[in-house]
Amino acid sequence: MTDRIRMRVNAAFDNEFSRAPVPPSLRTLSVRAAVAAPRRRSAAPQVVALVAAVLVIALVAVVLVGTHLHSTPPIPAGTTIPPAPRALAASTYDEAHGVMVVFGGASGQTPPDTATWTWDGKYWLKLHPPVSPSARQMAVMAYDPAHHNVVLFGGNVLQKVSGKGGCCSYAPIDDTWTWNGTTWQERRPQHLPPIGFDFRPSLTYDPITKSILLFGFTQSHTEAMTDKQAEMWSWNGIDWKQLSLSITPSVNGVMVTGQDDLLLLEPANVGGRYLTQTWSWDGSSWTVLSPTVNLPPLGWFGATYDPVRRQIVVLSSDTWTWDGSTWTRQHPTVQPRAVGYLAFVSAVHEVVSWGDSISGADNEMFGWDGSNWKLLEPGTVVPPSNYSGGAYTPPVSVDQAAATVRATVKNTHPVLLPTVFPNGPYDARVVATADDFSITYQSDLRDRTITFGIMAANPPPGGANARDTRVPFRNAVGLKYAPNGYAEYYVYDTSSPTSQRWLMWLEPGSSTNSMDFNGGVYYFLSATGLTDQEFWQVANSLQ
Amino acid sequence: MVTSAIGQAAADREADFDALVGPLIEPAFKLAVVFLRDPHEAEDAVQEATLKAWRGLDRLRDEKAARAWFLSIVANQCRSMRRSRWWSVLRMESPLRDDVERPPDDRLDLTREMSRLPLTDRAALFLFFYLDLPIAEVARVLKISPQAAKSRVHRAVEKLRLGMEVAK
Repeated sequence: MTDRIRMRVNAAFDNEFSRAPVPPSLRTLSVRAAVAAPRRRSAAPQVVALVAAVLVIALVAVVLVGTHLHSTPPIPAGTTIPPAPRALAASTYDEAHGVMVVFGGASGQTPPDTATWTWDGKYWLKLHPPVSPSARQMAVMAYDPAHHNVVLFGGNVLQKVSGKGGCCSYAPIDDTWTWNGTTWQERRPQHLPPIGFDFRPSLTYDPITKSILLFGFTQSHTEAMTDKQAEMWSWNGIDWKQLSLSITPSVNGVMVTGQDDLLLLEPANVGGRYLTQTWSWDGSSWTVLSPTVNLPPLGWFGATYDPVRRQIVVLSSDTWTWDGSTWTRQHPTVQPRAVGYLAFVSAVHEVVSWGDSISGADNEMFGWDGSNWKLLEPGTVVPPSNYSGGAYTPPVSVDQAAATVRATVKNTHPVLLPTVFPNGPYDARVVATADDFSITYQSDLRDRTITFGIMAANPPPGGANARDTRVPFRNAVGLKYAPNGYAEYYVYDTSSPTSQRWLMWLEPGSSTNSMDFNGGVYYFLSATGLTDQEFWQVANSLQ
Repeated sequence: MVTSAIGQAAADREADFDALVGPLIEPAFKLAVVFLRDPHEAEDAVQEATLKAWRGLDRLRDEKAARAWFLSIVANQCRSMRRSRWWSVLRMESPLRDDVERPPDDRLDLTREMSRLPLTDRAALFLFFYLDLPIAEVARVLKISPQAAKSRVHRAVEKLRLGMEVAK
């Protein structure tokens, strides 16, 4: 290897790292947090201490119970204090016992656990079943009304890595368990779905075939995950059976059971536009529906059925409901800070969202009354100030977004902003620093999205119908890919009039941040749901 | 007095551990960025790996091997996070990615070509060229044989050359 290669490779890494500087406090925080945690040591002294402590506590408890047995009122079986926040747990509503069940997941920086919790609408109860599935995260769980139990499948378990210095990694597991309200039972089906957990599969009850359905992908063994295969399996209470489908959704989606139907919500790119398609299940095959309003790209989301209002509720960065024929975006004044574990809980007659299912940063309980979310139970942790729970950044008006950018971006000039928004109104979500910014403008139904800002973007390439051109634009600074006075204009699907499209150029100006400046300031405008004419109305309105 | 002694012991413990892994936090963070391409996730990975290193400290027999030992924990953590966080795949499919620099000149073309490499190849390049680790140590961090580490570095360099020729 020559020094020249080394220099060039290192320069490329330096370039990458300049956009990801080492946080100054990372060393202190990491070391301090680690040292504050207990070390693994010989278990013997701890076991002795634990036994002694248990005996003392038992003795004290016996004395107290004996003393106060006749004088104290009955205490509820549980507590109003919620479990510690947890990410990637399994949860569902156990109709037979009227409780929301939460199993496993990881809390904070600790590994996944085996805890089973229930919530009855008021009290949390940590159960101590004699048998439990092993500690895991990303397991999937659903209530089976045909057998009056809760079914849990698979997940990722921590496993030791062989070799010196090895610690652990996650590995998929394909076991099946049922919960009867008191204990777990491991089932020994003859067939095991080879579903992997690169993507979280989906498990739900199918009211048409009256069985539990599992939809997921086989474990991938390649970096690009191109070898994964979509599969559907059915659970009849005893064994799994693979279903042969004429059309199988090709992207990971989430199934959600309605009153007497079953939907699959799946991210898709249709006509150069990203959205979430709605599929319907007829008991043997899937069909893509064409509702008046489609869901936008959802990212991380939760979904469950509200039998009181006869709607499917979807919680993402917005709240959506499905009335059986189309989607409606709701406009609550309050929204959970994160996408939690969703379930309809009979005792409160509402869909609830507990905690933060993606990053486990909070444990608040919210309830959905059909038009608004309200806080049912406060959490026990204070989320960090920059916490958005992976989900919810409140939108602001277009004018407020502009004011925020003008007041915040001080180190880069010029600061341009669009002033024309076709077919509005739009709201805006803004991220701004002293150096740069990005604003996402969205129409009410999220079917038109405009993204604009100072950013060196690297959008993915398009398909066969994509078109990449150079267009005269402003007095752009020349790049290798576009001469002076030209911008790069890209349309993802020229056969679709409202395809995703973007415009990228180097605006004459200055910035104290070298990553935003290369003889000019990087600007990027992207839109979906807008025609070519509308897109240029926005582009030509920059001020 | 007792409280103060405990406090002193805790401070000593922190200082000892900091002396061992503190200097490795920066390279660990960069390795995590190479793997995860997200500074926030990289930060999480390093914090989690540091916790695991602390808990598994008894398994480190030779302090001279601390660098490979710690970086291998970081690499493991990154792999686990990539595997368990399926939403990162969704994010990659989203129409916008501003996490990678768009290359305006020849120097940055290499950045683009490197971003197309498999993560394990990028990690091998980072460890071998950027951290200047010997091949044997690259192998220990990536938990592969020295021969495999060597061929991975060579293969990555060849891919970069090929990629750059196509770009021209």
